[in-house]
Amino acid sequence: MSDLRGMFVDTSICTGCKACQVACKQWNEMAPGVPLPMEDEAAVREHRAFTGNSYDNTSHLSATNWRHVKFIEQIGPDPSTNDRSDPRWLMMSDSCKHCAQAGCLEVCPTGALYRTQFGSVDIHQDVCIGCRYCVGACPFGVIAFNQRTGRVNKCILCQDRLEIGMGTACAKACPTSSLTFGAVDDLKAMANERVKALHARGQTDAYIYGWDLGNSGKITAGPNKGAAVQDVEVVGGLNVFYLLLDKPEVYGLPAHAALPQRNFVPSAGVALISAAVLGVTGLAAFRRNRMAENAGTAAD
Amino acid sequence: MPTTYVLPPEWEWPITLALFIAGIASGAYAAMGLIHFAGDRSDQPVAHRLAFVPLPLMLVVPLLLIVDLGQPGRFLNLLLRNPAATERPGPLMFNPNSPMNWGSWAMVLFGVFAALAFADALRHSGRLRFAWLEPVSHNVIVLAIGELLALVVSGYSGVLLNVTNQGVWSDTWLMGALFICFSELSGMAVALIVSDRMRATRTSAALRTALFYAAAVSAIVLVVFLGSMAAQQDGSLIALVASVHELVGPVFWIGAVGLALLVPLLALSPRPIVRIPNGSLALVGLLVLVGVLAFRYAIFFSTISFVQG
Repeated sequence: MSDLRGMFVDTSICTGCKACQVACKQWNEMAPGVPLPMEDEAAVREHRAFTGNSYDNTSHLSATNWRHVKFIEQIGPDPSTNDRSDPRWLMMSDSCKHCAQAGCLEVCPTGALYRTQFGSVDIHQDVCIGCRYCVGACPFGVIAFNQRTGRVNKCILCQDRLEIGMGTACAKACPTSSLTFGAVDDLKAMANERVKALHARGQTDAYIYGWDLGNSGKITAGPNKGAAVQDVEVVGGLNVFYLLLDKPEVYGLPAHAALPQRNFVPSAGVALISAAVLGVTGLAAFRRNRMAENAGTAAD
Repeated sequence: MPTTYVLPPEWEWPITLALFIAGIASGAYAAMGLIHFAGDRSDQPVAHRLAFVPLPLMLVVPLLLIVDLGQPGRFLNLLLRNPAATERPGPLMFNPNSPMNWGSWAMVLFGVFAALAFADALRHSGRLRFAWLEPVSHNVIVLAIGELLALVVSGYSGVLLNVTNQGVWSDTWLMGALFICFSELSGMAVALIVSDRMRATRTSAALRTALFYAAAVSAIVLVVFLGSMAAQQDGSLIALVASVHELVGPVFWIGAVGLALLVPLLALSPRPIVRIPNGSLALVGLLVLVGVLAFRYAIFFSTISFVQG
């Protein structure tokens, strides 16, 4: 059994109560923030306005919202028509996934982002210089720049609580056990059992996002009804992973999240080749000119 | 609207300007090296004058980069390991997976070679008397190492943009190559301006051919770059070439394509389509510099227009 700790997020029993959001803010002492009216253009631009999107009040993860409950309203089978048959309301509590291969950690130029003894990704706030490279590197849009502190913030899997043997604050507050904290191996086994139980009940759209445990099924409702789904493993696995009921994109998750480093060697290689070509053309330019000069002199 | 899951890093004008200036500095050093390697005695005065360019620019670049940090006072964490970062070994900070770290070290080391070139230029102008500089600064190995570092300074920022998950920036492997090409263009443009002002006719003739060739190579790389973005079919090509948000599209076509590429291709060709009057080569160089700045701007701000659809 490994020491990896993480969370299993079962979206099939999330009620969107936001207790996790509140618990996260409270434990980490983050300002609650008051949504402003949509007429306030600056507030809309800075994501401080009412979202106008179902019961969503923070719209996305940010430096002061390390957990975000998403509300996805699927009114009918075709959003472009007035057909309101077979509606469903999906909810998901989102946060940092603490990727097994973390893009943010890989690109950090100062060592501010680091892997903890629990396998989670934490930030040395004393080391972060606020270069924001990790912001652009995270495939999930999790890590965010904090304008007030000049550093980046994200969920740190309640590192301070874990160090004294406690679980995460959000999981502790979840009234439906949609969020479960524990050893990643145990959570994977639990998730697999849960998917199989749902499938046995006819809810064949359940699958795991984060690890490939071999489950596959078919979406039973909503605009994607009938589409095939299967477990998705991304960036080497996610220590915080999800049971989803629709395609990843519906929840705002990339179907093919990738490490930014995939481009490093090819990009540097192509850059070297172009530099070599430029060097040769530069030398050729001088040689061509001098040969033309010599030809001219000889002709004279 | 494109589907994007990432947040933009909010790098704006200071970074754009810093990388434009770093590109001129490294490009000018590369052009100086080219003249040393490929030129003859009559070209050397231009090379010596060009050697004045990289150092002052490389003093401005870190300032712009540091100003843009959220915690400017901690910039040394890029080079020296902060004691709190206990997971990293040794007293120095180097993460080989981070192009930003490569770039930080390359800029520091390139600064040493830029200073050496500057001191040598001072000696040639009679303002410094260090006779020992001549064999050091003109040594082939020293010049080659300096060229290599100039190359890293030119290209690291492009590779850095490739090594993200941002639309446009990470869509192809060609960003590093493009940045090197446009740095070379800006360096050649500065060299042409210097030689034109010095009325070094022979050197100017060779440099105008070199700038024409560099523009041709850059144009080919740019076409492949746009083609590979079109193949992505994720809206990133539109975000670069057709977005009016922050004027990215017009700046790209007028500046990057028109001024940086078409001007040298049309005016400096062996059979020029646009004839430029004698003594106006410097103007071509200036237009190319403006075009390179436009290229940096369009690339940097395209990702914002991509995110905002």
